[in-house]
Amino acid sequence: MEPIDLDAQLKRALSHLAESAPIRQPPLQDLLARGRKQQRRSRLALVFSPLAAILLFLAVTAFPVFAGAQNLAQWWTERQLEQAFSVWDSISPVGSLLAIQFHCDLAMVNNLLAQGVSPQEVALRAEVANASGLSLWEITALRGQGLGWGRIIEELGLERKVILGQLAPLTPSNPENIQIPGVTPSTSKTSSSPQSFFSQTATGLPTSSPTSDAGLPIDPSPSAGNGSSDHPSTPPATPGSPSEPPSESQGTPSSQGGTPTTTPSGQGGTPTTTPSGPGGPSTSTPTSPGGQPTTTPSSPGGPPTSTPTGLGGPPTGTPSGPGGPPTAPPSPSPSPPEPGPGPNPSPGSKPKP
Amino acid sequence: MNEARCDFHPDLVRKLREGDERAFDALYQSTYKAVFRTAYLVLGSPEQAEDIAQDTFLQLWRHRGRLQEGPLLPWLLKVATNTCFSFFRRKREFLLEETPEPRNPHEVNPEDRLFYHQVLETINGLPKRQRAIIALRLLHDLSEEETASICGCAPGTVRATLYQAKEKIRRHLGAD
Repeated sequence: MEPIDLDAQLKRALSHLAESAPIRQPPLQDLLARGRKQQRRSRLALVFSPLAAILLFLAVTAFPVFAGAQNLAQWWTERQLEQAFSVWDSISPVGSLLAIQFHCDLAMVNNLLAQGVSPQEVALRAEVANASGLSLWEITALRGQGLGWGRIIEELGLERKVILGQLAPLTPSNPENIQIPGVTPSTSKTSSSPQSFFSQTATGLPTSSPTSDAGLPIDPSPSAGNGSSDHPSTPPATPGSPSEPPSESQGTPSSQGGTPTTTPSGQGGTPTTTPSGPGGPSTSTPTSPGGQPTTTPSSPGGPPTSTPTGLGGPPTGTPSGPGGPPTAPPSPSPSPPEPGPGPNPSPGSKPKP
Repeated sequence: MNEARCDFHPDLVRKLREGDERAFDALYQSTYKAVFRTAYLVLGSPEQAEDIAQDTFLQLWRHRGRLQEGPLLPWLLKVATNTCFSFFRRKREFLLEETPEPRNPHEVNPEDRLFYHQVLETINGLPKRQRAIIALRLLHDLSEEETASICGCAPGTVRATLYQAKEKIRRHLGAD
């Protein structure tokens, strides 16, 4: 076969092959409609792809900022922690008890507990909130501003004793031993609500050298180991001065330490010293945050007692009254355990004559 | 007259550039077959060739404002060929279907039918770039330079590819 013939035959064969294919030529309008559809789609993609990219960028960067985190990883970690806390809160009976007892929102109470606020503090906040008509969050906000309880109660126009009186009967009905600030567990013999404590101090009952039921001397200071059995090693937090209510971070003995065995002046710095008449013992008022007990002899003849309740100070008894023997130095003598589940034995609050 | 050699009137291209749909329709009706057949020889599938041809004309309509003076069909064939190359980049084999029966049995004699079958088998054994060179060079009778320009290769490559394809067909015919 000649090459020239091959070229011609190849051309003819290719033409035949190409022409043998079935051609379906769409009308121009259909073609243009398809083109418009493609163009619309590409325009949408052109518009929305940068928009989607911006939204994605904002979602990745700004959302954690809105959520209070610095980046996505921190936000995720905090979210996981919140979930873990929520699980813990859901199974914690303390929050439920507090919510039922003070008619608060369970979520609020659980949130406060999850933030590290003690149940006693939550109880006090809830009680103040109930008494003042404010919400628990508002009381929490006031506490968050650094206001002490005395200031808060004064600003809200509440009576301290009213608050404490409302808190007092809650204690025996607390099966889980939620330590209500300023309230000692009222056992059969050592029942000492704030009112009773006030009345005792007011009537000149001695507060020094209390003894437990077993006859052991009990130091009235909160460091005597007679506080909450939940926190036996917790150093006794002391209330501030009456004019300077303790802050939450310092902790009141009644709200943080769970040892409401001292005078209830930590609730708002209420001075509890009252001249009790001639011959009566004098009570000391914790006024110095430095831990130095201040003794106010109420009567010349009465033995002054000192209760070192200053902040962080050594709770040593200091003889300050003329002629009055100092109270017993703080000793780690354990108090007899409470038979009930309550970690709130406070023999020091039950002064025995 | 070969389809590739049909030069359009400059007014047609100007009207197309201005967005005249009638000018575009005239161009579409006259050159669609050439584009389709080129795509069909490269891809071997009428459906895919139809898609390629329609995309080619849509690109022409979309970029009508940038058209320049000169022959329009090589531009269309270049667009169609490049679309074929890129659209089915991963596909290795593009087998042309068996030659269908002619409408008129007397149209093709048995010898030609045998030859067509051998050409078909030869083309099926070639890669798509060589098939595009053969289609442009033999079907549309473009020059080596135009074919090289469309396929993006050197004119020597076009010549060598065409020579190899002829040698294969010749060997097929000699064997038979």
